[in-house]
Amino acid sequence: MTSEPMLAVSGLSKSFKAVKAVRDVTFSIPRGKTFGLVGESGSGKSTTARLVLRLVEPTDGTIRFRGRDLAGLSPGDLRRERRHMQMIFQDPFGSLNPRMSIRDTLTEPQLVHGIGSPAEHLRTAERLLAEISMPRTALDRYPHEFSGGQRQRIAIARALSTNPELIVADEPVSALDVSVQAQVLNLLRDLQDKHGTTMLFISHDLRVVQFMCDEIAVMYLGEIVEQGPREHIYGAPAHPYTQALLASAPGKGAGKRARLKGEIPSAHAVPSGCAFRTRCPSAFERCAIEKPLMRDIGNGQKAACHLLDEAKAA
Amino acid sequence: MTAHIASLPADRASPALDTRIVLEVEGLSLSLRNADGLLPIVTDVSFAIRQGEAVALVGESGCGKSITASAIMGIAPDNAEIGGTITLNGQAISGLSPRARRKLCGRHMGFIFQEPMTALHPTLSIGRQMTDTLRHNLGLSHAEATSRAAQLLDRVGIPRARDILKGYVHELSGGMRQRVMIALAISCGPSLVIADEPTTALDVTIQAQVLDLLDDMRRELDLAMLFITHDLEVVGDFCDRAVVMYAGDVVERGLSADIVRSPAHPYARGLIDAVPDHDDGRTRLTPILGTVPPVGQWPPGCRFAPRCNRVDAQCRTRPALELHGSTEARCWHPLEPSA
Repeated sequence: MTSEPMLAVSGLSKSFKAVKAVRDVTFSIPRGKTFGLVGESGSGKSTTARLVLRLVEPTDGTIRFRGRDLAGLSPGDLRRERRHMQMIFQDPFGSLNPRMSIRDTLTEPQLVHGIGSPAEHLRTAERLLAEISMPRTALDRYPHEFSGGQRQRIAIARALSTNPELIVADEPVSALDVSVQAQVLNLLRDLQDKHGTTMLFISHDLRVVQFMCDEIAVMYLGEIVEQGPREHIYGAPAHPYTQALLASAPGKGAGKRARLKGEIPSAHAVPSGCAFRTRCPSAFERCAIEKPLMRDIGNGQKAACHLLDEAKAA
Repeated sequence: MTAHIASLPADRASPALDTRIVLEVEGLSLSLRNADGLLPIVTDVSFAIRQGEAVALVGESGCGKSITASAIMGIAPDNAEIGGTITLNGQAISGLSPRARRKLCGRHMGFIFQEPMTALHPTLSIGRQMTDTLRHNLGLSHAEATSRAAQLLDRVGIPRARDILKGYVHELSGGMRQRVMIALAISCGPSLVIADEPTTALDVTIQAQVLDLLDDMRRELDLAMLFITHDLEVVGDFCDRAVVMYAGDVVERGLSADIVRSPAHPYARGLIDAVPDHDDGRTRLTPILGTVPPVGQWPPGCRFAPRCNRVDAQCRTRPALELHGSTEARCWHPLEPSA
């Protein structure tokens, strides 16, 4: 299919004063696919999510959503566009209004966006509750009456209530216990299959990203360092950072395999050249001088590392 | 392993059987006293940790693992009624006065908590916190304590130790704070270290560093380690044995390699299946249905029964913790060991 991607982000950057939180991020998500952003804290993945929704104004770059440039939209047009993009947050305790019944929680977005009549709002709310396997009686209850997993399901139902084309999910299962995590991940996949929703999925958990995403971008210190289809990122990671992330994940035995030294540097003082060089086990002279460019390594996989040039030259 | 092998000399030479028991918890129970009477939180928890051995206490939120640890540390809530015995290096500590217990535990037990930012003092310098501990427990002079503190920071991989001693917790990253906690935990030469979710708040590459450090310290200092975690994969990598808890109960106990590979209890199996694995191409996960019953609403009999797919009438009576295959499980219908 050659149709235009649902979301195309190009050269996206955001600085908060001297802090370069996101630098030159480019990716696109085809309709109905799930795109994963993975990285450690401070990698800029959550800022990227907020930039995509224009909850934060970008310093530079373009965001094309459903074929329209979001940056060029008037506030009114942006608000109208928002019904097509919804967000699911990490903390289901903070993201649901404690004083709103589940009925109001699920009908308010439709009201705000002027979708349908009050009777239709309620019908949609009832249908969504059924989709997240909750009884109709939940409508008149309040968020505090539900467990973390149930609240996250309600947050998902709310996100679906405007029938959006894009859902941005920022660490949606990180606050949940593993058994509940599995329920919510299954639900997200089922709903996506059913509604054909496109998803930008953000997580620090490599296992969860692998389960959910078709394509994955690995972020480090505000930049994408590697990107490609799931099976290649996990099967043949090209960037030393991706390799180290995969080697660090628990469940691989306690063997002292390649551990990364040190910690992610401050975004106030991004290292020269390659931002990862201060922790890279294979860094050499060139890495401090010259910034590696994203290069295509086949199969739709791209990585930014000088080692890939060296390997080619050898 | 069959029974007769245990009598062979070769087996007795195994270090795991020869080393002495550091911590023994026998029939530990804990209830909280409130206006309505006693609310049971943990029932009949038993396990032992030998010198140089890491034992994991595994379970999801609310299973009772942290409060079990708090009972061992002697920091259970004031309204807790504790039953059973806790023995440290052959001495029963469960009956000691708080003062006698502090004296013993300060030296012989080290603690590492999940959140170093709240466990360490925000307005005392790192050096002061460390030297206070060393001087109080070991009776060192100020100069001796300072020099020992610097050595300890050096040992846990903190660069520029002398400078860091003058600094404060908020100046450090999460990984460095956890290293300071580890330095403090081992500072008085304990025989037991209790680590409560020590890496849960850390990024994956830092988590790997801190787990490696804990593992090194255990081997170098021959420590007994109690590792409290929700992550079975961490257990498989870093712990010799595991105790799986559910709703205040021990549901499975055995070598962690056996439990991770082939658990006998359906709950332990469920925990493993609920996690997406790196290399399987599953399109659906196998969740454990329902939720953990809240404290005070445990079903009689097997507490996992309402969520279990192997449940039948027998599960209405409480199963005992019994050997099934290579591990012990509290289950009427344990899973067959897989090949």
